[in-house]
Amino acid sequence: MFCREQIAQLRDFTSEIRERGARLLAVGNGKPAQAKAFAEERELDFPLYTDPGLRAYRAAGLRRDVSSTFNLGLVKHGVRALKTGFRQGAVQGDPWQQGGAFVFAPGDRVLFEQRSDTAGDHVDPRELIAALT
Amino acid sequence: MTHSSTTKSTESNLSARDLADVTVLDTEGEVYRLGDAWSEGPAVLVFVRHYG
Repeated sequence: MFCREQIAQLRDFTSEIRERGARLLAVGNGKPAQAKAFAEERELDFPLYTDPGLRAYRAAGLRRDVSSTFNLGLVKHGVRALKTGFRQGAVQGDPWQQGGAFVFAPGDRVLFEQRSDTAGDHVDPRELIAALT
Repeated sequence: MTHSSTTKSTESNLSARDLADVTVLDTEGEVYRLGDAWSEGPAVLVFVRHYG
């Protein structure tokens, strides 16, 4: 359910991201067919890629462990997500892999980076906008 | 308040360069090189946890 909430949050900001001349893309893990189904279900207007081998997640230095997934911070995030109407569907992809968000520019410049510590702990899109401004 | 770590340290150059040559698959199973996303302009790259 955190994933759906995160994607919904991002969708509200896609036009602002594009207004600043930036591209938006998401990467998940699992099979392309799962990504395709998710993208169609959520009617995404930005590309969704998948990284079944978790190579990109590893290269990005994103956490993958059981302890971060069951952190107590999860309870607070879970309550928030449930309150706004998101429910957990069937998990597709690695449940222990955490996410993150980056803003990159030509020349491999890093304008922003965030690596999540717990489930439900995802970036505020306004921080992404700020990095582009 | 979040528990995430936001860094802009000197090690940050490493993450973009390491990621640039990594390939992922699009929804049709075609290969895409991540670095192409920010080779000509800025890009926001979000890694989601899983689909669900």
